[in-house]
Amino acid sequence: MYVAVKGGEKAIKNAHDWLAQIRRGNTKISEIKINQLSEQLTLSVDRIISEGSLFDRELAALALKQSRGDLIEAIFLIRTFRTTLPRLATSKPINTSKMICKRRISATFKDIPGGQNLGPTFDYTHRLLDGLKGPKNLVIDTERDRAEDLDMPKILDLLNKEGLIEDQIDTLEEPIDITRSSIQYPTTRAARLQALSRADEGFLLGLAYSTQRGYGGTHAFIGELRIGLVAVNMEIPELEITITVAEIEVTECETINQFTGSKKELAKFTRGYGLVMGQCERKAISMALVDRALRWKELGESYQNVPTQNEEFVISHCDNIQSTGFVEHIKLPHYVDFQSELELVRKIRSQQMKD
Amino acid sequence: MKSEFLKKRKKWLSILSQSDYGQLSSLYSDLKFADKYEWIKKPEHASVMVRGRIGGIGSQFNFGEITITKCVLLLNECMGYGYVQGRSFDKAKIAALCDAHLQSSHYNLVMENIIQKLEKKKNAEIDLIKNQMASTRVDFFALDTQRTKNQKADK
Repeated sequence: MYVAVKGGEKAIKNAHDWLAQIRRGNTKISEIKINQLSEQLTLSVDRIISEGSLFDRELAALALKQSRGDLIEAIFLIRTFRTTLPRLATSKPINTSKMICKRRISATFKDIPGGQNLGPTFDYTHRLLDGLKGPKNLVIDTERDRAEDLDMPKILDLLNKEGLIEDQIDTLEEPIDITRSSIQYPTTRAARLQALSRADEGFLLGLAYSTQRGYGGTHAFIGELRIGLVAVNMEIPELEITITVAEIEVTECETINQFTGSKKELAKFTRGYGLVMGQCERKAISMALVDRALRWKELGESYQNVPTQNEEFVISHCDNIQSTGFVEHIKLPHYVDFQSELELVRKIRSQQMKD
Repeated sequence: MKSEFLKKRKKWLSILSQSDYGQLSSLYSDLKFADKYEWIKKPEHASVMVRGRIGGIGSQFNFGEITITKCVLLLNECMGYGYVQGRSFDKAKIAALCDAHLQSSHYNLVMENIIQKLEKKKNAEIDLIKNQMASTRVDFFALDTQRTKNQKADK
């Protein structure tokens, strides 16, 4: 028999107070500041921005501190906060070809206009724990490394001009916003890209890896990867002007994938697209691979019964806040549900014993 | 005439929105204005949904949101608009005050002492990023193999 109960206030309060103590750690060690996190744990902050889907470095750093460094908990805090903000407007689409790049590379062409620019990358480090080397000044050759020389066209645009890769036509279709209306399947590529851009990095990484290992397989090359600052332009209706209201850092990955062709059409390469807020290179690459794999039907590829060809599977499980909410909720009291199961098992057993 | 004004306003509002709050507020207080303004709309936080394009060039999709702060005030019969990135009421207020002053006889004063200085700092930051990035540009060298060495020797 179930009896309604209440209680636990004291237990909960003490649990939260203990949490606050542990979050602070040893008080003999100085407390970490929000701006230290936003300046020194930049890639954790970027991941919170990307998966929280809200570009605000200070808030993301605060969330990182409050969550004791648990990124999913921090993302949860950001997602909750963003629901409290009134939506003022929708921006003009960002123009990534005008990005102020910090990094820009292509794995398909060695000699590209603007060159291969490594930027502040972990690539080519030896992955050895060598103590933290303090910052050093870069060796900048003022003759060679001039700012005005850096005109960097998009690599895929160059292929596109030759007709060697599928074009991306602007259909002028108004994209759905998955934060405002639930996704209906089959869905659109625009809805998928929004979902993938805020998806869990680990989940996307695993799926992307599966496509490379043979569960599907779209054989991607990184046509171009760029990280940098883009302007966010927004119309101010009262003033009848469009202003740059913000500047955000983004990572963009464009893949060049196996070609298609038919009797009607000449062979050409296809594309995968990854665009992520903040510096999240691993995720942008993963997103591009998964985006391309999900396009199998549109590109007339055969169904191979692999996870990355099932958009409902990918999209409905890629959000880590939804996932963690459902997975973790089973730790909360389920006394009533379980009580009914228990009674049922007892009843069946007593029946079986009689038989 | 009107379009010339709108063009200038677009530029100064864009510079104000992305400015560094510390620099903006110190430049503004240096001018020692004794502002008597009236709120039309007090500062409030909001979000803007940022759009991207599929493949960078195709159809639009909703990418993610940013925080902004906006306000409107009336200063000496000029309407000042503050639209700034992030969540700072004070930054939005100073931006709106600048916008109002820039529509008045204080135009040159504010343009030279605030807007141009903000722009200069911004441009210097961008130039530094570009220089640093260019310094990480790879120069490729073709290595000699036995075959190319032989070819050179033959010549």
